Amino acid sequence: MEHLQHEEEQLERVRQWWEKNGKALIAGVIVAIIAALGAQYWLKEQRNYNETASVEYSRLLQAIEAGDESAPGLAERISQDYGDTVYASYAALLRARMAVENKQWPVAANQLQWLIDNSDESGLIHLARIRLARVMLEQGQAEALLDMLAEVEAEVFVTDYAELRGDAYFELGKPDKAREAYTEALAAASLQRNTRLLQIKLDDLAVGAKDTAQ
Amino acid sequence: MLQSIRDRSQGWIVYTIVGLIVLTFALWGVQEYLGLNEQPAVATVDDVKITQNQYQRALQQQRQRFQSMLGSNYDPSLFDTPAVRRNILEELINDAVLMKFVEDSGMRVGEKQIAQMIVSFPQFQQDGKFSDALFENYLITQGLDQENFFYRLANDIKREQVFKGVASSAFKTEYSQIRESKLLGQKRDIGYMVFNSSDNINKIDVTDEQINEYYSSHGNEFMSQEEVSVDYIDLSMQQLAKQITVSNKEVRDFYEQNKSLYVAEERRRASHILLELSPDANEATEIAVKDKAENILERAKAGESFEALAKEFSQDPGSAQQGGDLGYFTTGVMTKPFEEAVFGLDEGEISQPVRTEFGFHIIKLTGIQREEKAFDEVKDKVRQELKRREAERQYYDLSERMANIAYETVDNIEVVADEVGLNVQTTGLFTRNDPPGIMADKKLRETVFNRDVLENRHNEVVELGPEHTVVFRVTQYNPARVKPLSAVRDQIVKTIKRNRATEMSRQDAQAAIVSIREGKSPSSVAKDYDTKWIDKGLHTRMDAGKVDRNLLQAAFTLAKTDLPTYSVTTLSNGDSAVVSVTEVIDGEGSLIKSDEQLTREQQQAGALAFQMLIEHLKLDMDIVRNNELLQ
Repeated sequence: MEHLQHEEEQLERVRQWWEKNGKALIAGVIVAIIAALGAQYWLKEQRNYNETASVEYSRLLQAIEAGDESAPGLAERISQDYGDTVYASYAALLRARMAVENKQWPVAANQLQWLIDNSDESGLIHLARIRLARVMLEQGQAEALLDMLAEVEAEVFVTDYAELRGDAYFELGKPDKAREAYTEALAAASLQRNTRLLQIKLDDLAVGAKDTAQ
Repeated sequence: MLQSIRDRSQGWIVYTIVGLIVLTFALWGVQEYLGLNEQPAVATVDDVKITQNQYQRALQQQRQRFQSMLGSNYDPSLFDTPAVRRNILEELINDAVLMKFVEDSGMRVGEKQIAQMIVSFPQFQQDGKFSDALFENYLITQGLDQENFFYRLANDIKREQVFKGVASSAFKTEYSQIRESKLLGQKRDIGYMVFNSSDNINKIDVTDEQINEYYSSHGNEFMSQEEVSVDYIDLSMQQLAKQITVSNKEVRDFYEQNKSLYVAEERRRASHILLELSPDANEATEIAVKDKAENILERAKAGESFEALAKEFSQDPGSAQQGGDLGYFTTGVMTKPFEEAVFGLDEGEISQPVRTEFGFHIIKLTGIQREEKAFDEVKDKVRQELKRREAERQYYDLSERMANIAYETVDNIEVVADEVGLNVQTTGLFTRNDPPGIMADKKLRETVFNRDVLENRHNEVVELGPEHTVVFRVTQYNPARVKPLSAVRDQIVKTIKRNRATEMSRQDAQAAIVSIREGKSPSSVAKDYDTKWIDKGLHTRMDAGKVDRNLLQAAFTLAKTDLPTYSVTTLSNGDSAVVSVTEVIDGEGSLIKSDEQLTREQQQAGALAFQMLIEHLKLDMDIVRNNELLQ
């Protein structure tokens, strides 16, 4: 009989513990379940949101391929409705190209600037900035271009940035600085890059008398 | 209950059982941590592994690509270099980097989008609708389950989405086109005078000391090629066939037994009913005519006379009145779809309507003619055939025995030759570039110059084709080495003289420039040096066909400020020249590029942007390449 008593004692202790902590425990479990469900719901919504953005984006690609007039509008809608997805960045890049084709330089510049300000992807930001700089050259904004590039960490894009700076200096009538920039661009160019035009730009700015060539 | 467990849990049995359970759990999955089941990764991108399998598959695909591109020109040794292997690995790494970016940037492709895509694939369409059966069949032949297939498609869609976003969005601005056209269209007024260097050669003495010095400092320019000589046995079916004799009786017997093989070309006779329709008829007309054709076909099949129907309906003026009869003809006479239909029918059968450039035909096959050819006409052919059969039999027997013995005897090639009754032939020394006779075969030559083969000098068996096998053994090998001075002395003397002569003409040219700068006119300076000043006129950078390439290069790297400017250059023939630019006119700076050219350049710019994005992404990833594992 001793072990029966023993078990009753244990049960009593469990009952006391439950009275003291039961409510808290249940509340805790409920909170945990709600939190888990909530998180799942949020993740699912997030997924749905991204998936819809993807569908819209693929529709945009089709419209562009087909030369459909709805393409610019579609691209703008993606940037607005799905602004925090990466699809918005792609849409902005594509919208910028459409604008360039129609010589709408400010529209192109706005799209690219929007990407630079809003994207989380540093690689896309670099590409957009390089393209923005090209549009700025088109608009005769060499000075502003140099300001924009002054603080930029070039990372793998040294050749692109340096060539753009060279072009800007050239337009501003500063051949010495342009030469310096083109030289930097050439030195950093990877082997697979076609540097013919870059080399010609540099050669065209040659100075001094050369008694011994090559 | 609790108590009884507690009691029994004292026993050693329980300890053992619990111990085993604990161990099982403790060691569960440990082999994964230890990497026991794993192949070594050829590379890793952060936590993503690129396995040996993936690499081998990519390598295989690349080989197949080159093979189908180059056909018989495909040379495996060219595509099996460390550089090519590293390239393939880098492509796999790039893709892994891209897929990580896709993941990290939150790109998602839902099942709905994938399903929509699959439904639109033409290969899953039947009668204009998506067919479940076709789709499932495809999955089975590809060895994929649906989940796997969806996953792959999703990845493909994402790849395309990134590429289109980044690359198709690249553009060329007008500014860049104008700048380019100004530079490429730029003209420079070029003048020059040449300082002949070959005149100087006779004035130059070369000492032994100079020769020795040149020889020792340019040793690697005087390497001889590696040389090899081999003994070989050449077994080919063609050769065997020449030695085989076949008696007239055998030829006769064979002919009698196989007459049906020797028939004149088959001729077929057909009738047809033509309903005219031009090749570019619209769909509605086409359907209408086809319906009418099917109508007639049904009547013919129901038993109406084909001739009568042809007379009534056929729009072929040549045959309609003959009841559609076209007489006998062989292949190569009628238009292709018509011929295929006729030669696919049985005698008396009527075809479905056949579309040709003339319209729809309903065709009835009315006769087949096959004539056996006379013995005299075909006996040479029969003899050839018998020889071929016998040669083939001997060849397969001999080539197998030859290969076996070649391996068994390791390096005794005479024994092999005796066994198959052929002679051992010998090549004499040759290099990779001048292989004699049979060694010109690419596969054979590569095997001969294989490192291991050169070293171990064993018998090697090479199949040059389905009916040609060679066994060879390397008998002598001279590795590449620096040629002795005596062999290259003349060449060195020549080189030194030429270099010195060029240098002398160059000094003259430099002195000439100084005179010009001092105020003398170029033409009078030219006279002083016994040469002529030439005004070449205005040229662009692209005029390499009209002006010496080096001259042009020098002119277009001269300063264009403070004209005229002068420089010295060495021409392609070793002469020196003074080059001057007196005027520079920029190109017009117009938008002259064709749409195709512009599209191509934009595509190139896009591909570069995409490549740069990948390179940028790599900066933040931990990439390990195990190049030593690449085979």
